Amino acid sequence: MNNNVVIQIENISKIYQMGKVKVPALAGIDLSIEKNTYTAIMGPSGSGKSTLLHILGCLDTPTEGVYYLDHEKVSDLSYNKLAEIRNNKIGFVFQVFNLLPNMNVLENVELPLMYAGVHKKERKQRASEVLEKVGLDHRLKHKPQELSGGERQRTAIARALANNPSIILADEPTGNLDSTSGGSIMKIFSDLHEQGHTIIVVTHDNNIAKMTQRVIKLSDGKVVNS
Amino acid sequence: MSIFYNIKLGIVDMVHNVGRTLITMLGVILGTMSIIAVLALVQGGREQSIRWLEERGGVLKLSIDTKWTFDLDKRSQIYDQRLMLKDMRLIRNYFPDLLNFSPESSKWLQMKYKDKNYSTRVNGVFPAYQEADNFHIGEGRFITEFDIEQANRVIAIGVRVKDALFGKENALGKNITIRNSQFKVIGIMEEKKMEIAGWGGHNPMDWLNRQSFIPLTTMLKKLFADQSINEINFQVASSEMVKPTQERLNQFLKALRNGEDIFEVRANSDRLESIQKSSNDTQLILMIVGGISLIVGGIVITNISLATVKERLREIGVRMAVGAKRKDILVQFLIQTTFMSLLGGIVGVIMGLALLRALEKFLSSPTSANPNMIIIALVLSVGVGFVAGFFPAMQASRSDPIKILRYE
Repeated sequence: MNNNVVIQIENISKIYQMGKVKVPALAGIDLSIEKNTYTAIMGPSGSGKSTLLHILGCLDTPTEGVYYLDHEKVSDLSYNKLAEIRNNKIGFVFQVFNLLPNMNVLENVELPLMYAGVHKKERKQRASEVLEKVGLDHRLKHKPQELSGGERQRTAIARALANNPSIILADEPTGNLDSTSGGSIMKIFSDLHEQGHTIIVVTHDNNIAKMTQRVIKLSDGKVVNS
Repeated sequence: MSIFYNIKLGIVDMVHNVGRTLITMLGVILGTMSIIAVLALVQGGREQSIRWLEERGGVLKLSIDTKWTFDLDKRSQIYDQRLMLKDMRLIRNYFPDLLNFSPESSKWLQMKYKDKNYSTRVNGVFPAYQEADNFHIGEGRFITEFDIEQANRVIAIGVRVKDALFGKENALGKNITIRNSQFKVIGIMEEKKMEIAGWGGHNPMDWLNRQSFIPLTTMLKKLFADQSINEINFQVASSEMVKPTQERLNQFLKALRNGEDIFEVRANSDRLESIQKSSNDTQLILMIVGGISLIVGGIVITNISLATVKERLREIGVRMAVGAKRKDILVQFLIQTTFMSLLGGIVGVIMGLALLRALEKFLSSPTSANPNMIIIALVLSVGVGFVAGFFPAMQASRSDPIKILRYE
């Protein structure tokens, strides 16, 4: 196995049980992604791209197949081990931001650090630093509902970056944004890529795909090119 | 993940849902409130009874008295064989270890001073009366051994008697007429008082202040030709001696009357026991009632927390997505319900104490709250919150993040 490979999946499939019907979302995918690359996953609705990203993000587990993350087999780890990986190896950015409404921007970004057991003072400092990085240092005490969509997504990115993970996964991060905010979000991802992060973005948008180094196209749970 | 962080989360959530929080806490509030009220009410009643006993000679006091019966024939037989001066002397001689040995012979008599009359109970007593009945002289002196030997016509009067006959005038050294004899006032008794909540400032001990005391010998030799004694009060040296003394005396008294059951030897400590027992029974029953409302409070917490978990699924999903372990979520919800229940307990304690003041004021029931009751109530409320919150917290921690987050 190439030492530069951070993500390696072999024959991954995911089958959802919908009542009595089995619905395959992924039907045998092989894929490897190298360190410090910028990848887009594209495909029509229902092609399985979100499911793939969830499995890569250790939010979901494959029905079959093997997943190596940083050369560690993660496809059969316990829930708590996966929680640790989600906490310190992966930053996940959702289309709908998924910020906690009762907490302010700073507290939202502190969240992964808290579960990592970082002490309060260091936590506040590190969270403020990443928020400065995404240009939100003037909004620390604001609640999510007081922010624009772009600002919310930048908060979510800051949260994904808080524990300094090597891999950033984003599921249609601009899907709920206007084109201007979307553009500034994509600029942040490009910057992060330049700073050495490995980035995988699920998107519908060809313009976004053009900014990446590699596009993986999915259809019916299978990779059609790569 | 500190406790304080979770408490802070709990507070934030409670502030956002004030109404729901209040409903959730209501059962615990009412439960702790009733537990505080019950414990303090029962304790108040118990302390009152014990104080009464203390005022009446304490737990080491015993008394010899004729038996009381509904049977009229038996009653007249008992009257014929009642306690006489010679019996008293025998008891005194055979039981030299009885302390503050105080026989009493009492009559309802009219007293006169100048143009004023006062009818009252006059007791012929020994000097030991003061200790035996815990009722002491206030001014002047009490009956002495010398008065007993000489059968002096001297009298110590209660403060109400003094007020009625003398008003503001000095009573010491003045003569009072009883059954055509002159009695010199040698002393005025202290004012006997006991505060009882619920008596509206009325003094339940005031009847003692209306009594007067003369030497026993004067009563039996000079006022009446009757040699009968109403009762003998005395004390024993220690509580271990109460029962054996009671038994020995009963045997002795029975022998004195050829095996007839005429007398009984009563102990204050028996009354204390029955007070303790009945108040313990009451307490148990009322505690069960309070406990049931706490359990209902717990069920309410479980129910509403289950709804809260459903409502907060997205938050749970997000926390899991950024690295929360199952334990973290479990602890978060558990601390929140426990804290909420504790808060309900604190509110319940405060309301319980307020209820007690109202009870004292408007219903005039004696109450006595102490820190132990508050601790018991708070510990119970924490326990209820913990147990009631466990199932919902378990549900929360078992959620599958992807199932929550996938359907956006």
